[in-house]
Amino acid sequence: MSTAIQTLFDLSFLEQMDDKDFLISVLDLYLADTGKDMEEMSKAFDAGNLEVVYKTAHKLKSSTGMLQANTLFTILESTERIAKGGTKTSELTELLKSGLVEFKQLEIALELHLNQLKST
Amino acid sequence: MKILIAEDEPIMLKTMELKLKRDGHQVIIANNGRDAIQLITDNEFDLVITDIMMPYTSGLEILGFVKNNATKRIPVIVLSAMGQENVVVEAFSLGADDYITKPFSPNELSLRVMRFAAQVAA
Repeated sequence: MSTAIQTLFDLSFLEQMDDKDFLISVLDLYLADTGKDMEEMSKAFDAGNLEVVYKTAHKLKSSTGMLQANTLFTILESTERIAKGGTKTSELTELLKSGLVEFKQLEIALELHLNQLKST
Repeated sequence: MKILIAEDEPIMLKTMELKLKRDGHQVIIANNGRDAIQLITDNEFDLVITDIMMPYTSGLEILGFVKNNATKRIPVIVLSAMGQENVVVEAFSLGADDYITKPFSPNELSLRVMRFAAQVAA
């Protein structure tokens, strides 16, 4: 992996399982669910439903943490904390935007890694 | 050991289930707190591992149920998240036996569970 990709995630927790099929299934699952959840979180925010934002950020934090995608993890952690307060703030707006940008980068890097895994 | 994992996040659940099965444990899973309570009522577990924030019934309620209703002493490991230190304190006051902060490595989980396996075997 290149250094740039390595900074986006660290699969060492999952690699402890020493099981390529498991790793592929987890990455497939993460890629299938996370984009949808991120979009739902943004829609919930636009609709003023901060309860959904809080719960979705909490859920995404768990899976993102297992991939040690630390930048996105930190964004989700802050999103969860602020949304839990129940007030729609400009900081929360910015966090949701930066979360989507960060996820897009992560998604590309993970897809690349996943393709490499599947081809070996 | 017969272990119940109560966790609603699929990747966490998949990782924990596979790791503990590979360690030789019998693993039953619940995706929400309500199912977890039902499973605890209907089965005899040696260990319960529960997330705190789950649909229908929280991990703290599961913990309280285990400590107040189970017919034998069942250890409970609580899965907390960073920033939930106050909840961990509450969990210990309700009788939690250990906690693990998410994210965690599968090897850490394995080692923590092994401590309770030794108690069950004793």
